[in-house]
Amino acid sequence: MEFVKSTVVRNFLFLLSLVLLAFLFSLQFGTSYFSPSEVIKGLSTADSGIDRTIIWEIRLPRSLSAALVGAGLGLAGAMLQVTTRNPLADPAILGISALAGLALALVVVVFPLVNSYIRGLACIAGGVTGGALILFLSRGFVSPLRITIVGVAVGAFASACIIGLITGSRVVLDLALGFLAGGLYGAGWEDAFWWLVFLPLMGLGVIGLANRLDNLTLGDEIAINLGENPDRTRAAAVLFSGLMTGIAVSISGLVSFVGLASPHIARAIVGRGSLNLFLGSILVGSIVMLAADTVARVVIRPSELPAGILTAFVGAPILIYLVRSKLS
Amino acid sequence: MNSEPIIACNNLTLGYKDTVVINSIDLEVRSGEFVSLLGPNASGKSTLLRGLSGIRSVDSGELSFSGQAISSMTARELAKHVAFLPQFPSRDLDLTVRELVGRGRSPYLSRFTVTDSDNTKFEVDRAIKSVGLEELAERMLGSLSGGEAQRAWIAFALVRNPKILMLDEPTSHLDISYQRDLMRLLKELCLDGLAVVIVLHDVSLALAYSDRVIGLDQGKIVFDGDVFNDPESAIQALSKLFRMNLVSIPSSTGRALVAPDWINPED
Repeated sequence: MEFVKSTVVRNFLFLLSLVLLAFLFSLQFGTSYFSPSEVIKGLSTADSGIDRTIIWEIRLPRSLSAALVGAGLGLAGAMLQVTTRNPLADPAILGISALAGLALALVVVVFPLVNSYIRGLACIAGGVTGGALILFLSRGFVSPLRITIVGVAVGAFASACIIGLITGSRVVLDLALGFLAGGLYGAGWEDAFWWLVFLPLMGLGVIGLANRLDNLTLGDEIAINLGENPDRTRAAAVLFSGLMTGIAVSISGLVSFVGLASPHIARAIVGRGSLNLFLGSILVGSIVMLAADTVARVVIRPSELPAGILTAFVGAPILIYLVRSKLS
Repeated sequence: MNSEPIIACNNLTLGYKDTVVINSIDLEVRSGEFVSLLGPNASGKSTLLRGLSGIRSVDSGELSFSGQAISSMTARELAKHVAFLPQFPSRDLDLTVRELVGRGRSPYLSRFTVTDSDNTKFEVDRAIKSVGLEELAERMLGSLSGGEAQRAWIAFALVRNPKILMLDEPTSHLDISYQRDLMRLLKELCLDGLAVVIVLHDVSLALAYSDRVIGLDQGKIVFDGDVFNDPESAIQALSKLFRMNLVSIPSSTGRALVAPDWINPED
């Protein structure tokens, strides 16, 4: 048992070091390249040279945003997969991201000049509404497949509305393109507010729900007999995932695949139990998002690709490898 | 038998929408009692068990545990008092026996507990030992046989030191030697003061091991008797309840050993 525990700790340290490495790379690579020592110098000196401006004002906030968006989406995906007992659950597949996006599109079309906080709140409202809608429409369903079908339908509906709104309103076309593909172009220190909201919420969600969701896996009747309230716990987990997704969408637009792949990758590395899964998914989500954003900036520089496209590019091979290796 | 009942209900009524399944039942169970609930299909046995364990809410009537009304207890307080297992608890869980049993301590643990305390370890070891699974404690639940998995789940239920254990048809998927072992185990637990209430289909198992048999028919108690001291009344009542003759077989222990008369042409 001691051995198992120490292996888990070691694997967590491994993931954590990968996060730091991905973070360092994301500061190094871009339109211009910096060595690690130049990065450290750029972070630590107070002069106003061009290097410092690039690292401190452009790359650092963008990397922090990428790490947190990945973490939030990874956690939301893990929580949805555990709650719906569906390994295919993810904020994008269940339509929650699309509803967050729809709320944003609505606000921007009706009030084109609103500030980023209102936009962020719109995304959060949309995400939580998405969660609530899934809960409401799938009430009484036990089958994970049915819940997924409801989610896919909700997502398709919301996506159609988004496209309709955008094509009907030329004002927001620029914003819309970046946002639909998902990416961190334009992320900056003004997102810091959301990081400060994000982190404590993630902690609360993990601590408050991991143990309860673990007990729910034993079966509803047994969970009730242990003193749990399965319906309330499931509702809390889905709404919480909507909240995480909303914040992530407000920063990065519609990024898919991170929520789907991160929990599977995390499970293979840090093993069983909701707490391990949630913490692992947070770390893996960060790694995938940081890597995707870094690659997005490098491949066609000086221009860049939307990171939302590259999350699948980075995550899919890892996921397929893991699924195949589990077979043997 | 004059101790305070561990569980007591008055006028207990349970149902689904417009259908009454359990109709105004009065019942008391005391420490150390081994009670079997018997009855034809759809007589309300499983519903009664779920009502008594607090898993489903009561439509009307009073239900109390050691004198405390259920309405005044928190879910966790109730969990420490009553342990319930459904007919087929999942074996498709990514847990070892020890991890499963550890989960059973959750009513006692804070939500923020990450590592096991010495007390938890002690209780988990004790529960695993009480069902004789020490050798298999680190095995995955899915790798166990049906009888072993059943024991692991019983350890899961016992680890919170409940006053009453309720099982819904625990023998239904076990071979006969496992059925006997399980009933022996439950009997031993009763001797230590635990009250056990089980739903059974097997009349002969119920009469061979329990102290008290309750016969249910259409949501009403039609028989409630001490089968150890007066097996004859129970045999008669159960024959009538199942509309099937029960044959007594001489046994060396003095316990009632009966078999359904499967081949009687007059039934």
